[in-house]
Amino acid sequence: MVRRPPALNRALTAVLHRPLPVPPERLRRGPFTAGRFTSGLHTERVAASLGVWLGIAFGVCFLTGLISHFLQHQPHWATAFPSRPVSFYRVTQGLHVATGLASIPLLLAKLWTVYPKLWSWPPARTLAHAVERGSLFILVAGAAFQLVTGLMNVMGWYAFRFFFTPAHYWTAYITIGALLIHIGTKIAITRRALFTTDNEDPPSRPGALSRRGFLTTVGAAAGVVTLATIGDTAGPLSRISPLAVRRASVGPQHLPVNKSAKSARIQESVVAATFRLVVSGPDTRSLSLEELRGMPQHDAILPITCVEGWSAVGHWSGVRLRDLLEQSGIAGDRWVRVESLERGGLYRSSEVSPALARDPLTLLALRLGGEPLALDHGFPCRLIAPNRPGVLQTKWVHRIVAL
Amino acid sequence: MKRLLYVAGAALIGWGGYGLFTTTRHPLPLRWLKFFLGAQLGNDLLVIPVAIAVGAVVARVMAPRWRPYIVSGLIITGAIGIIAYPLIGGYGLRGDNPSIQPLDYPRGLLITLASVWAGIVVTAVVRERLRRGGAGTAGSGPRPAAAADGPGRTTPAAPADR
Repeated sequence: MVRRPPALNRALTAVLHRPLPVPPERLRRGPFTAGRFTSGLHTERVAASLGVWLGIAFGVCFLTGLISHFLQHQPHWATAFPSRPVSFYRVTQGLHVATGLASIPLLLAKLWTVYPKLWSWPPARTLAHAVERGSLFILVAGAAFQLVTGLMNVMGWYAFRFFFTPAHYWTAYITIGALLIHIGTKIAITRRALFTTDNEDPPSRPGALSRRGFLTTVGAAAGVVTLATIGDTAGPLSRISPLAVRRASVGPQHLPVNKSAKSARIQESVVAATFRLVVSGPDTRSLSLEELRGMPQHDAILPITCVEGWSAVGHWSGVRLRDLLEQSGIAGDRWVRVESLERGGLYRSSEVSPALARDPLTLLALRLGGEPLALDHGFPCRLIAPNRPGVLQTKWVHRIVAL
Repeated sequence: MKRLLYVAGAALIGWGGYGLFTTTRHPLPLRWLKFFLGAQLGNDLLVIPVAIAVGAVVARVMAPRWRPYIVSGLIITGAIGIIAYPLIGGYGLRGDNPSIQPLDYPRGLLITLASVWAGIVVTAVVRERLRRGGAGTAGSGPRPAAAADGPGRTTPAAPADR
């Protein structure tokens, strides 16, 4: 850090901490009035506890979110991302969504606890105070934005009418940045509130929830939210999750679907009559469905993991992608693009890294659970690879191109 | 340490804002702003005032002895309500894809809330009984904090499915 001359430092400090003019007292009405909020729970200690919980939750969401982002967008420097364990992404994305949902009661409790501060008087004491409140505004808006859009996206409710992925991704940086500033301004208060022993709770008034009771309740709310929804990724718990958005066993061939053939405008009769798989490389091949079925078939038990948090395991069988690539003379160090019959859509094609394309578990699947793929699962064939977001498990594949 | 956090935080905010306004292919910023402000205002001017109003009503009508338990139950109910709102309203349902929101959510909500309130009732009865028993036998003077204690673990753990 650049060392500023002490004179400049002093001048800056003076400007930042000079008291600002106080607005006329007659404007101090409604919630600005002193003593308006009477609960004994609007304390530093409650805010500090909830703040620590939320900090951990948002940290988990941010890291798992970054993992999801990079697995989805696979910048070429990230080719070394391991494809084992095959359920790694399933766990991180399940954790991402579960932590986000559990954060909803935590954030509301925290905002309730500090609500009187929103109406503090004067609204800004000094320039430094005004700046701090500005960063808090960004933090609260960002956190609320992330949880609201995240919840809506998990539900498949796209009423926000913007593209969720970049909005949620970039707002995460804004929120975490504002959180770091908030930690900077509050770390001393948090330490004092949590680690000094001489601040015993004052006895709460009769009928009021105690600090411990309140925190326990908020924790319980987060726990109940988690249990009620976790079943869409943790199959064995689905029976105690009556509010899960998905159930692993419900869908065509007992597996959920995100994009149906109808919404992708894929018609079974047309596909069955005209299907050819073209593998484009030094030795381009065009294969019929019969020829694909005649190649060596392999099995893979792999999950479909949706970025929306649900996941379910399927028993797939089909042709290894690497066999197809070898047949067309595509070298082992090439990326390939897998293209769908879909005419448009953001996910009509996906790229597969050299390592993943040569993974023995990466299949062009023809069958699911012993039956030919249902049209909604990508008939006649789809990509299925370990540790890969569901939107990149391209369905209705008709072309594979060496890049 | 503090200064480092401020610099890193400001840099991340700048990076996020830069990405939001430059690298997205879709007309994002205005709609984004609507939600960014809307989520905050909705919370500050609607959700929390409503929670405070409900708390005030409960304070007026409930006996102090049972009030902490009721407040706990209402807090958990509110959290569940927010999660269940889109499911009950059927927001996100798509006719071409029955695997989205396939469960009976009104029933699911009832089961969850019934488990929560059953947990609250059990906690309340057990704790009040313990407290009375304790006060009768211990006889070691007044227990100042006891009357103000909220409920303990209210997790009803498993909102059982059937």
